Amino acid sequence: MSSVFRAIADPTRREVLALLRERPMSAGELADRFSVSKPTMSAHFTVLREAGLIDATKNGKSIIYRLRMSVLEEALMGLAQTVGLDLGASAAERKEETP
Amino acid sequence: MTRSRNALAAAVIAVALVEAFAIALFLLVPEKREYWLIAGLTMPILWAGAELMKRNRDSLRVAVAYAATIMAVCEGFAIARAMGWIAPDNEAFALRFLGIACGLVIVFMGNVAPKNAACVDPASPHAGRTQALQRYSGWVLFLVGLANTLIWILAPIKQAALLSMVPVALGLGLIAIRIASFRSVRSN
Repeated sequence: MSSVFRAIADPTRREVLALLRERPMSAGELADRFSVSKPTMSAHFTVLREAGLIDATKNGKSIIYRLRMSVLEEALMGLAQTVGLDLGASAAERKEETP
Repeated sequence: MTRSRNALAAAVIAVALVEAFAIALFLLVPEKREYWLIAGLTMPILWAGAELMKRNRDSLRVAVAYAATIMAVCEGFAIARAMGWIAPDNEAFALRFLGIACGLVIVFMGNVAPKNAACVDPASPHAGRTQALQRYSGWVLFLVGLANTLIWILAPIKQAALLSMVPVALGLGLIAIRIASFRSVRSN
């Protein structure tokens, strides 16, 4: 359970989860939406996978990630997102703001 | 592999419990033998039939495990009553307990439903919609289970059985509508 808390405590990881709520996405597709480096993104994916919140499947050369959140985990993430709103802009927003 | 084994083990244990309880009830309450016979035969026949269809066996076995758990809880209640472990004046309390237990099984079932990765093929063009349907079903079942549990806790015992069916029927109706709309979009 602590691994789940650790995973959803980070705003970038929460945003990855929010993106995966729409549909499964490849690692590249997800990484393109953030301004952080690929190794950092990879570390975020590892944390999420170890917490059991996402699942990785190899599809040819790319890795496809899909959401694996229970109802309670999703509710917990929603709560973390609400509480964490004042932490500042999210990674994707920061990227959008960068000229 | 481990997930498949766990699903199979859970289904086998739950169905074995249903069968053991059905046999016990067959002997303990002979005047209702036809009920226990139906209870004992339903799960294995349905499970075997579904296995022959060879569609997504892992999720099927998980579903069998949940259904059999609810059945085993109900049979356990009948055994306790037949053995005289539940005094007649405690029957209302025992019935309430049984209702709460069934509600909590639905809550648990709904909670883990979106985690079942076998339902979503990430390479499929409908992966997003399938995942959304899975999440929706999980949330509906979770809320249905909570409502069901609350009704069994708070409602007068005479009305609880009938009232508890309202959220279940409503929830199943909502899921059925969503599945129907998903299928119509998929076939277009």
